[in-house]
Amino acid sequence: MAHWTKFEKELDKEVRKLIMHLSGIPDEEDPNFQMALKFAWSNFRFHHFLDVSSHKVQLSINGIYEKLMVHSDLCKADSWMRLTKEFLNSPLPNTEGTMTDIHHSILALLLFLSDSPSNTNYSERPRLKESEKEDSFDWAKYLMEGEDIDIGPFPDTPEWSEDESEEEESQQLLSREDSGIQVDRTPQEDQEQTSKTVQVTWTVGEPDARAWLELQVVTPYWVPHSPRFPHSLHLHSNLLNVWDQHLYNTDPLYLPEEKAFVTETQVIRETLWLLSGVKRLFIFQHHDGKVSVRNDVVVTHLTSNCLRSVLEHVAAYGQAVFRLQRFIDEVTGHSAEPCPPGLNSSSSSSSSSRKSSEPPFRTYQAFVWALYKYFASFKEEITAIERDIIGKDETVTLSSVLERLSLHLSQITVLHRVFCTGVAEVPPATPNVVRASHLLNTLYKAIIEYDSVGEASEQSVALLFSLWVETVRPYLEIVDEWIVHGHLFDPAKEFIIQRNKDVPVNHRDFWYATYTLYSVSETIESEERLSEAASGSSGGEQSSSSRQHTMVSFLKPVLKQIIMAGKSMQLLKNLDCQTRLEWDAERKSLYTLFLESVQTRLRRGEESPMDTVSEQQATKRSLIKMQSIVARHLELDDIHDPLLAINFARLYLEQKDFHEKFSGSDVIVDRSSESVTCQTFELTLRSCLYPHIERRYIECCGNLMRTLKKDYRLLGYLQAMRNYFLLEAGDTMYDFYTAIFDKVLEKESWQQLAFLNVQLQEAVGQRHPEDSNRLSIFLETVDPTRKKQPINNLDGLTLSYKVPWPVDIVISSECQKIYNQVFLLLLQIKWAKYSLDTLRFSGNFVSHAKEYTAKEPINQQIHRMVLLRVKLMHFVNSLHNYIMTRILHSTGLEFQHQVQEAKDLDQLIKIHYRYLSTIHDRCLLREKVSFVKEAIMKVLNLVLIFSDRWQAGFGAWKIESIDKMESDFKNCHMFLVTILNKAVCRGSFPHLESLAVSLMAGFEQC
Amino acid sequence: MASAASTNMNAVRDTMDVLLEISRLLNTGLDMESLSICVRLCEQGINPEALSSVIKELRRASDTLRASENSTSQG
Repeated sequence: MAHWTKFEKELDKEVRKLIMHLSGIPDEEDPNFQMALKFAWSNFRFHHFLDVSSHKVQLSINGIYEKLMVHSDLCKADSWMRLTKEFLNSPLPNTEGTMTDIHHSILALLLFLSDSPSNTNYSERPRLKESEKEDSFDWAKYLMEGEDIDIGPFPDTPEWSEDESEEEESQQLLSREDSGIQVDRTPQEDQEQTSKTVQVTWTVGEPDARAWLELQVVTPYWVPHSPRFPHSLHLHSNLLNVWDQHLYNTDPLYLPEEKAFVTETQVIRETLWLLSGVKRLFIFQHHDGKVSVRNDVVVTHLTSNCLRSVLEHVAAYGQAVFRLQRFIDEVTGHSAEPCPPGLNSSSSSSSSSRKSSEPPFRTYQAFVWALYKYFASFKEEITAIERDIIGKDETVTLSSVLERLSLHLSQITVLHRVFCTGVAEVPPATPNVVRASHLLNTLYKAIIEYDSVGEASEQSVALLFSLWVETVRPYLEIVDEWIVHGHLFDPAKEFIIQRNKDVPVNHRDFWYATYTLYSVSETIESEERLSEAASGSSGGEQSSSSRQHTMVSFLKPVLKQIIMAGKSMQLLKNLDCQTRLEWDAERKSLYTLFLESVQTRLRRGEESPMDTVSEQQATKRSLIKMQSIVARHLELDDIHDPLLAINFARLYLEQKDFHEKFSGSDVIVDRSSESVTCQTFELTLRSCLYPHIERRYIECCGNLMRTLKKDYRLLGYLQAMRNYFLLEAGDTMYDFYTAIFDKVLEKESWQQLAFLNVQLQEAVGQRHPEDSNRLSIFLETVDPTRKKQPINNLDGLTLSYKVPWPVDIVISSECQKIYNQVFLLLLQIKWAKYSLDTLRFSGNFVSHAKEYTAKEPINQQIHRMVLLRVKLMHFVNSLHNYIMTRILHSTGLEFQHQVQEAKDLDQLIKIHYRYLSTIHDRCLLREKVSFVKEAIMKVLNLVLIFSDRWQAGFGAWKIESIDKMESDFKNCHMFLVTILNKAVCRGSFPHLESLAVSLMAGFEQC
Repeated sequence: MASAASTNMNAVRDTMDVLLEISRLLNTGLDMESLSICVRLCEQGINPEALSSVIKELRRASDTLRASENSTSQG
């Protein structure tokens, strides 16, 4: 082939290329290649084909056009005509002109090679005009990138403006990407970073970038009429179509709706986003806090109803999450809603201003913190699932995701329920204390409720318990602060007990009126009422009995102790701050102690299954024993159910002290029912929280009691009250009252304050000088109508003892009133007794007797007077003995004993009050038995009249008056004996027995 | 001069694009490279009918070759 021309050589090269390209044989020495080359050349050289006729080609073109038209391929036909025309009018690489033979021959080649053009799918591709782009490309800049270009002496020339360079840069970056060339850009990293970010934000808006994103990341299924994604044609993936087709076939009126197609992965992803609190979603829509599923969303492999029913479940959970999340945001003061900056700032400023004006509501904060912790773990789980989806290592389906989240979802349901009842349903104007206690109560009740279900809801109980433990923290901290430092720190007014600011600590009313207890439980209420009645003060603790019953149940069993300890501590702090502060430093807070106890208890619970085998024997034995006991108790209620008995027995095995309590002689059946309902949680509290409070209570109150008794001579003051008011200091008081009685006897006026006080001071000053300045006496003006009887002369005489703070908490002025009532009665008896005792058979009397010995009636009168006197003396002495020894002394001994054992101040107050009411009762001062007192008063009155007559002298006696006195006395005496005997026979007043017996003896003698 | 050449280049590139569209429409099975080879051959005076028969034959032959190769390699 040496004779080949250059033309032929080029032709050969082209032919080889063609063969290589078509056959795919890379090696030219390959025999197949050589054969193909030979074949090609022989065809080209020795062919017998006619030359191409442009006319024929044109005819073919028209024929194909017609054919396409016949096939209704209008687009194709149009393209065909246009393209051929365009081609014929376009230049060829090495041929001058257009519409040449070469053009036609090329077309002819294509026509020869064409393979049924009407049967193929064809759509014309838009051809890119690259020429402009090529032109705008700045090659010089591209090649010189990274070079330090000398920009000349005038750097601020207009060509180097900032805008232009930026524009160029962005343009350059875009085109570079198109060119597909990667350039080393390390020298300009900083600049590159900035430009890159600019580029990202800028290119997303571009249609090209959007298309790229759609192709590479996700099709925008959220825009209407979005392009369908490609998916398998398998039946499984087209269930929706099949179903639609079926509907279309069976229902003539069926109209297929416009639908937004999504993939299951998109559904899963939106589900996860919804559960993690994202609000702006496509599939799930938010309307005023409600989450609903979009109607027109479908996946190809499920019917829309099926998908909807699944997603509606998810939406319900999503709504719960959303509500909880919003609550968290509200409390923390964040606004999760991405809103415009202006709006955001205004809302945040309003929330911050609200925050600054109101002290933080710690119970809600603690609750939110617990919720937040839960949600953190929940979101971790969601993120893990999302990572799995991204990883594509395993198949993630919607049902598998829901299965994986099922535990969390059920927990969210529980949380949401608690939130709804505990927080959301509370009306907005409710005070914080009700909110807080309501929330705690709801949690508490929920725990007990779920706890009673048993193992089925262990997870819920665990969750709720952790939630409760967190939420209760502020309360326990308040309690701790109060019972340890004596300071009730509660700025948001959320604690059930609140300090009344207007009562100072060193005030007499401190103990009663300082604190307001909200929502009192029945038992405590009645107790407090009692003390209120005793004090008569404006007790604040009962002010809320009409309020909604929102007592924090978990504190109920120890509420009294808390109140006592808190008040005692505050009082103690005010008494002496220095002495009892040493142990404060290394002390653990109540909450810490509680947590530690709970932990040890739970750990013990974990360990117990390990050694059950060894303990089985013992357990079995005690179970049988317990069963018999429980069965016995059940039989009390006519229940014969061995299974119930066994279960009860099992239940009580947990409670260690059960056996002692229930096998004891006095059985309280009510108690069992209470324990059954609250099972282990109640037990947990009982063993973990209450002991700490109890210990603190004992410590505080013990301290207070010691301080009061030792440093403040409480017992001394109580003794003083008995000494003076109850006349236990007999000699002292004798001096005082005899002075008065003598004055009365001498018919002198004794009702002068100065005289009385002088007498009192003289009497007291001799023996008890320390009390002389505390004691004083007053005369109260008494209704003159009541003074008609001589015995009522003493009415209005009031003794007063100045009790210093803090002892006046115990010995209040109300107590002194009762003391005074008894004091007055005692004085009256003493007076009667004194006036009888001091009657003398004076010389006058005896001489008269001698003088009138002959006169029978006078002797008889004297005799009757003497007899009456003895009878009266017997009566008065019996009464006196009864009151002084039987009542005052023995009750006083009892009282002293109880005072020694009193654990807290309240108990002491109660004991004191009970003591007072006892002596008040037993001295027959109660309204109910006023008729007895009336009778006694009549007798005492008679005594005074009698002594008056006696004093008047012998001659003044009249037989009628003696008769009257005798009959009066007899009537009263008989009446009293009958009444007292009845009472004694009924057995209701055993203490009256001695009085009844002695009066009876006197009566029989008459 | 250079710009005129480049305009020509672009025009030719456009022509080739059009030609490729026509080829696709007619379902000839030619790609850009084989198409450009064919254009050059036609410009050099090769009879299009001969060329088409060569292309068809080459395709058929290479198909049978591949099939036999596959069968031998499997065997």
